[in-house]
Amino acid sequence: MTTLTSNGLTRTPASPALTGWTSNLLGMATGFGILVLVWTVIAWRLGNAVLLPAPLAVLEGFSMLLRDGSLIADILASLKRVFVGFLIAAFIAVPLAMLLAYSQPLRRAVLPVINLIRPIPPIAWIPIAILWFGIGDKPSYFITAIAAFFPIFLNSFFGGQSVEDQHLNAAKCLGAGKRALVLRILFPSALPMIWTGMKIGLGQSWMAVVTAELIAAQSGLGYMIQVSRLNLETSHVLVGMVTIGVLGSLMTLMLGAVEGFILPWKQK
Amino acid sequence: MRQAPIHRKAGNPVRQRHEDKSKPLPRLVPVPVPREHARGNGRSGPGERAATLAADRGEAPRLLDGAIDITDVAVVFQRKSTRVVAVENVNVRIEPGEFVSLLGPSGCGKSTLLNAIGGMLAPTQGQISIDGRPVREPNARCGVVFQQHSLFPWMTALDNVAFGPEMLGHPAPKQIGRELLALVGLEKFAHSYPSQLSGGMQQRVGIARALATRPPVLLMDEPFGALDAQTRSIMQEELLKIWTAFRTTVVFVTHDVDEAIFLSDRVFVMRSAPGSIKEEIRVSLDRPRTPEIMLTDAFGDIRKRVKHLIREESLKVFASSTK
Repeated sequence: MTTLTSNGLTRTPASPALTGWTSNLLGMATGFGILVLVWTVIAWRLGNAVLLPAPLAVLEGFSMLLRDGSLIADILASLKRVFVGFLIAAFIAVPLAMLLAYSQPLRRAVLPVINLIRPIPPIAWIPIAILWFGIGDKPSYFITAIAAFFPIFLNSFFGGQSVEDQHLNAAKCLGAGKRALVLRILFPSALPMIWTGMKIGLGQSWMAVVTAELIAAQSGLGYMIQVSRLNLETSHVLVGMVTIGVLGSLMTLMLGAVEGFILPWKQK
Repeated sequence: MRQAPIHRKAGNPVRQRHEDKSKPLPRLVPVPVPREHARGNGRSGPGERAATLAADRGEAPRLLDGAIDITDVAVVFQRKSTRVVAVENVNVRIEPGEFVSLLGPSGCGKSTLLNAIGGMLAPTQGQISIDGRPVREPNARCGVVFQQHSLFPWMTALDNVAFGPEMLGHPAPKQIGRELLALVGLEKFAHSYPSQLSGGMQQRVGIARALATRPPVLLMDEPFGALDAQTRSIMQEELLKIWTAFRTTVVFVTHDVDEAIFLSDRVFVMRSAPGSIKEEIRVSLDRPRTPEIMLTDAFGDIRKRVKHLIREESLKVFASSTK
């Protein structure tokens, strides 16, 4: 069916059955279907389970690791490291960013130092982290915190800097002191950016935990991948990778779901 | 004849009792914001003491809060190597409870002058004081209503209005917030966020917010400039009603001739580049005023005179820009 639009062009309106989340779901299923199909074909042509096991073999490995409980234990170990590191980073980065956004002298002193440390990738901190904290949870906290710190800090800082003068002036005219200016004006002004920083930071943290566990831990998904690689159990390596991907996307989805509670004024 | 102030005087028990007898006011409940807080940081000026004495003697308190003295003020902006004189040679005294407008074409420095009165901008030269105390930075002695988008978007309408009283340590800021929202007819929208309100509603919340701290001076920077003509006219009338109840000193910036005359006791027509006061025009039309007053001959005469002055200025600016 075609309709005549105001500019005289004809176009076909989308079928009502294919709108909203149903079409989203359909699109997603198609994407994953193609991925699994291509993967199966390549694995079959290759015929080498060490180089690339078929999706079915990965599924078997997944159910096996699930049944002996080791996958859950590894997931929990990794999640704990991500959240602890992330929280440490957030609790330092956000207040620091607010203070620097508010105070110019502080900004002049601290910002150059942060800019110097920022380009150092989290992985480069691993040797130092092992020296300082040994092997286990602590170096991983350190690495995940480093990874999450910069996106959270930078976004919060720019959020704080972009506060409107008019809002600051209005608050001062209403009797707000320094403390209220930072906590009641600067912070909520920056909150959308802080939130963005946290979303990116959590992703970075999650990536970093795997890196940290490859080297500096004896549990967790990263460690599991490393051990499976040494045992030439490629299907388990892929179980680890897929799990990391799925959990990472779930985290992003979860953050998106609570956004309305954090930023109620941004809702329609 | 002007009424005595009513609500700004709340907080002083002596005066309040006196007022309760003489001037009952619908809906508005006097709010006990501590005077020291609302008046900024400190000691009471000579004016306030005189008012207290008058009240003690049982006389009607004279209006003494909200006098603005602008003495030889100049504001110069230094942009790289060029000096721009935005405002110079301004000498004005605004009486307590007076409604004055700063009127002039865009870029004549009227907003700059307003910002200087509010302490948002330090004058390069001269001094501005409110009730004898110099203005140094924005404070609760001046309520400010900005052109638009000055409500805190992360707060509901109620929280915006309650913010000032809360900052000044009032025990029930939400109560004041509700009263003021009711005054501007928006009690139903207390829990809406600014982005959910129309432009006119946002400005009404802005006015309520600025009045919630009972400031002796209210500065308004083209508050209705972004509104459509109908809303604008209604808002002007509403503003006069509110002003009649509060009797704060109002300094109102606009480039709308009718708006300035309709609202004000005095209109200051500004000269541009550099901005200064070209002429002061007293508007002695009776109050309360309704929009019909704009059709009268008296209003027409003032309008003719003001428009002539404005045209002179605009022509000058136009000529200098095409040189």
